[in-house]
Amino acid sequence: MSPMRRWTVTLACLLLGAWWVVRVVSGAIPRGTDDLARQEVLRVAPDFRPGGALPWSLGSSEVESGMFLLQAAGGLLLLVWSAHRLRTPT
Amino acid sequence: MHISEGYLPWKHALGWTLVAAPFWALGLRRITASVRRDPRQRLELGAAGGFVFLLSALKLPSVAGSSSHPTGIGWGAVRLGPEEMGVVGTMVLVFQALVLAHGGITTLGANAVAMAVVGSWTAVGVFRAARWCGLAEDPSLFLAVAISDLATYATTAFQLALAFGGNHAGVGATMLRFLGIFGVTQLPLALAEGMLAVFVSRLLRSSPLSLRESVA
Repeated sequence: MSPMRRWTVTLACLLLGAWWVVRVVSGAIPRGTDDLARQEVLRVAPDFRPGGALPWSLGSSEVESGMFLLQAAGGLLLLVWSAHRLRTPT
Repeated sequence: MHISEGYLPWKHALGWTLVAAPFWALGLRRITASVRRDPRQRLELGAAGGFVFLLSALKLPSVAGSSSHPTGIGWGAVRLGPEEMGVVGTMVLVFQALVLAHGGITTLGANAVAMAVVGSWTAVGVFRAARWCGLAEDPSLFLAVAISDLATYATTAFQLALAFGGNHAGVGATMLRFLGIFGVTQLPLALAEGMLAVFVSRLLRSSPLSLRESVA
């Protein structure tokens, strides 16, 4: 890949990433399939009583969004670090 | 899409955990052996794990006013092997349940079977089949990753239908209902994940990374 193309792709990824971060932080991401599935379970099986939820929760959707952002950032760091170490000769 | 804590009857939760357990054991054995043989395999696992962590955290808007997330499993399975990715995917699920309160502990087995097991093995199977049919590596990888993503969600739909469809509309009809929820949302994301996998694969191919050759 030529340097110009690499820079273009990198810039496009950064812009997309920034757009996604803004959407997540502002709460503009619509309802997830997890929520829709939970609703559908209760609709399909109205007699079903869900078991206990996890005893811990994140408190608010903003905190949840922030934690997912952290997971994504952690994953990206791990990926980049591992790739960098693999490039380094032993 | 992860089945939330408490949203599977305990018998089904236990059953799926028993299904997942041999794959965990197999994966741990493979990882132990490969790391013992070559310690740098840890870095390859790290790269695959980082990819799964990254993609599974990306809640992306899709069509029909809903959102979902890709899995990231397919690429790692084709590159490293389905056994190893069975363990890597499960570790991500454990992290999300414990830290993000996303998914569940009792439903870990079911979620692991859907994402880490079916997702991984589907990716490798489709990749090998596509290569056997004469497709080049990039289109094969695209198909493998996209179909793996869809297979994960189809498995989840099946798990929920098995748990809740028997006494009501029937397993088949219930599965179609859940597929109707997941399918519309997930299809564009699966295609995007396929393209991303090809892009990352090309990026790594053009760099002197020592990632293991494709399992095919």
